[in-house]
Amino acid sequence: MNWINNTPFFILQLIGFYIVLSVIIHVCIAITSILKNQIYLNRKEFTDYNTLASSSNAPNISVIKVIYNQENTILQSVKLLLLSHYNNLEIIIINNGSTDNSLQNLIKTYNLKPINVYINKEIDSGPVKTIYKSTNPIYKKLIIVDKPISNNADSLNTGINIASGKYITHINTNYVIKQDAILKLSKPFLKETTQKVIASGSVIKYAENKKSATILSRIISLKHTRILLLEYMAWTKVNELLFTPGLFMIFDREIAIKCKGYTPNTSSLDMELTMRMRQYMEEHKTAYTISFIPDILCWKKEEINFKNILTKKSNWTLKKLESLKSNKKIIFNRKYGTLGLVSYPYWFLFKFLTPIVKVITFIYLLVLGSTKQISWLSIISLGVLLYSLKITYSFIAILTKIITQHKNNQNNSVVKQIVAAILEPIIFTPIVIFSFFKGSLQYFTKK
Amino acid sequence: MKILVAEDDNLIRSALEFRLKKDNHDVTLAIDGKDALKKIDEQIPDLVITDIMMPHISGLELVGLIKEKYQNQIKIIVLTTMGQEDVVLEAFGLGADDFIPKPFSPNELSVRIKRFAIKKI
Amino acid sequence: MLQLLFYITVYTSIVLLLMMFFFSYLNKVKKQKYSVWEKESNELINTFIFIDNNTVLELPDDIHTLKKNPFFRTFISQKIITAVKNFSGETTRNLKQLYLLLELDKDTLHDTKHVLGHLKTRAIRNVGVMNLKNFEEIVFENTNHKNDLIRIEAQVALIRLTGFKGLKFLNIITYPISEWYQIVLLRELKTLDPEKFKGIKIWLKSFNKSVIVFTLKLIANYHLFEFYPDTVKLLHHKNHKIRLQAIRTLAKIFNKNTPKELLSIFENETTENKIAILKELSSFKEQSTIPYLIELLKQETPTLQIVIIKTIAKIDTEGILLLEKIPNAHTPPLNNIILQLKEEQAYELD
Repeated sequence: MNWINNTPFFILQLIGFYIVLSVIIHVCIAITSILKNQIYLNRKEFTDYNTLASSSNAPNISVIKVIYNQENTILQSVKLLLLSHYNNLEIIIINNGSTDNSLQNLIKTYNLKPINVYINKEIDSGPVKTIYKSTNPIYKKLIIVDKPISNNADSLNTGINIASGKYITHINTNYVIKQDAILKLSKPFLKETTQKVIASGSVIKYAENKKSATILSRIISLKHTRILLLEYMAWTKVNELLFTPGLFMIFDREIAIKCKGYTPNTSSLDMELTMRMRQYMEEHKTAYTISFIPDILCWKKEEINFKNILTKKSNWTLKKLESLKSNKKIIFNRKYGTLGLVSYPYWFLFKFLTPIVKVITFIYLLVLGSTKQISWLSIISLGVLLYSLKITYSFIAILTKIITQHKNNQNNSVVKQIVAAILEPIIFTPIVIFSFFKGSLQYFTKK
Repeated sequence: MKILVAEDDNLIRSALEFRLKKDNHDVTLAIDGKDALKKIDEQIPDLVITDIMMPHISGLELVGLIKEKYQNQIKIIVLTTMGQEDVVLEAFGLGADDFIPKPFSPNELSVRIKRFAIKKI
Repeated sequence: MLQLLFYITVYTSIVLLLMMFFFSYLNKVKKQKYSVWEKESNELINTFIFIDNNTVLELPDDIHTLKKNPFFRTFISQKIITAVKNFSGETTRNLKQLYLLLELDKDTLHDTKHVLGHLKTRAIRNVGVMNLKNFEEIVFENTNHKNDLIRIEAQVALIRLTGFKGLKFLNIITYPISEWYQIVLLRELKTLDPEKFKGIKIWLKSFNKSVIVFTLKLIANYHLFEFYPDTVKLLHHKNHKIRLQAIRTLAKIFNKNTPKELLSIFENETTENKIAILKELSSFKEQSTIPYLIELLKQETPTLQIVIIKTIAKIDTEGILLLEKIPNAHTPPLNNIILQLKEEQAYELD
């Protein structure tokens, strides 16, 4: 019977061990990330993107944009794409069965004419109605594809089939990319020597209205800062940029085709494709890398409110579960190198399962406390410890941002960030936990 | 002549201002395309000198917008490192009056501007 | 253990909080200081850029004081470099004078031996931009540095200092030169007046594959017809990237045998290289290649069939009529491809 009495102690030891291990790992990752970020900032001084912008040797890149009923915004989006600081660009707009005047507006504005194009279907994709090109040579980069409505993956695959660029990228409806985004993201491909660069990405940030920023938007902004400064760069050092939620990415078209493009019936298209591309390279034992640019090159125009965040986060859980299912062969599989042995397990244990661990720990401690097996004071102390750890981690991110970005962060802006850091565990963590369970429920009930 | 310089690099902006003022031109400075449009609306210049790679509104977009609104009332010189044929053609296609690749000689720019001044007279 | 962690965490957060406010304040002070320096250095640079030929160049008094501040020296050094990169002509000579008057060349000499990579890189870059010829040896020593940034800046600086002779680093370099850095080097060479190249034959036999690729690009860019036989030999190199560049280079120094030479390697080539060969063949407009291309249509993948058909159409304006006569011309996918081609040709004529 001893083990029944000792179980609570044992489980508490386990929780303690999990916390300490988590802290050590996070600190190591943070230090690596900060160092790598600094190296990137130092190197930035010597990168003259003008060289690439004005070079005819710049690789051809195809940008694919799928539209559905965007008659009010499509012209502006296309205009912005045409003004990218990158010359060897092909812009493919896929009109996914719009019922409004999106197509007509494009035809009129850009003097489009239907042309016959043979589509070499290297990836399975649905039928296409008409393809248009402009009669005006200024818009020779533009291709408009009109097709019947289908899922997003199919539309993107149509785009990939039509694309003639060596690299491809796609831009979602509410995304706005910086004019030099493609320039910066294409550089890693040209810098490859011993490892093939299969994709390159950068973080997508919410377009922030600084004047009317709410606490929630500040928390999200803080989260992005943490990811950017304390996480992603570290993972690229070990070449394991895993689970790229919310990254704007450019892919190698040939490898994407070999991986059969985007998969329908998954909610996270880029994430899935990246995983399959990685698997492909591992299976073919080819040295590869995924580059990460720690600059904000793309913004998402979306309102930040509780409802949106909750929906988004539960969708993310759904996507991650789908991804776990389709990639389950990777975990702890030596065949996949550090991907299978280190990063996937790390992500699974210390990122994905954290909401469950938190809830189970919380419930367990409540049970222990109400049955007087441990004192309430101990439980509260543990809670305070976890809270302080979270805040300290955010403080490290804020401080790193202040030091490295040399912006004149007026003190009131620093104060606002600190307040966001302090309130995040109270406001945001419950949302994360709730959406985790909501997303999981959706996944299992869908099954 | 009233000249507006749209250039995001501080040093080049100040050098252009210095040189053009030396030539007795009335110079307004803009830090990017958005700022340039605002200042043009406040006081219509005779000539706009613009870079292409600028934040918010690119130089080429600026050229298009100026020509659309003001037609030949405002002359435009594009000054940029992006010297490929496509870009040059696009700039002229949108209505630019001259195109100078960087690196450039401020003295040469000054002479080209004098040409516009003479034509105006 | 957790208790210890708790205390560490609390102390750390307090320290971090204080550091945040401190650095924030420091940034503010820095910004104010920099805006004053910005104004001073712009004025100084403008004065030097636009100075009359007969005026003696001298530093103003307030700059004499400022120039003792090492942060100001770094600041103005960056400004001068930006100015030199953006302006051409007389202005750059005057800026070099300014650089020497401020004794920034001494800082540069010191930093070329710096331990910190990015400071060393900056110094080497400055040597090239400011054309400090007496630093040539130091620069050459670093052209094969293990840090890729130091390496490329040294290579570029050497070219700036000595022109085409600077390419001598290709004799010694052991690290690969990426596509990006090849673009950077070619851009640098573009600014020079063409000279006779010494070393092409050696570089074409380099054990460093990227050196061979780069040399082939030089042959292409400068139309060095005398290296035609050497380029043809490289069509049979075991590395596909070298073969690809050899294909592209041959097109720039072609003679009447080139189409035949390209077709002789076609069969065993990678898809990418096959597409490159077809692209070059379309510019030669050599009618005798058409029968072979039509034969290829029967065995190649749809990806290549599209390119072959376009090539035939470009070689011969009546190409489409020829294509319509071949077997399978009226069945998919050939019929669709031919139809697309007809439309594209009509579109181009409009």
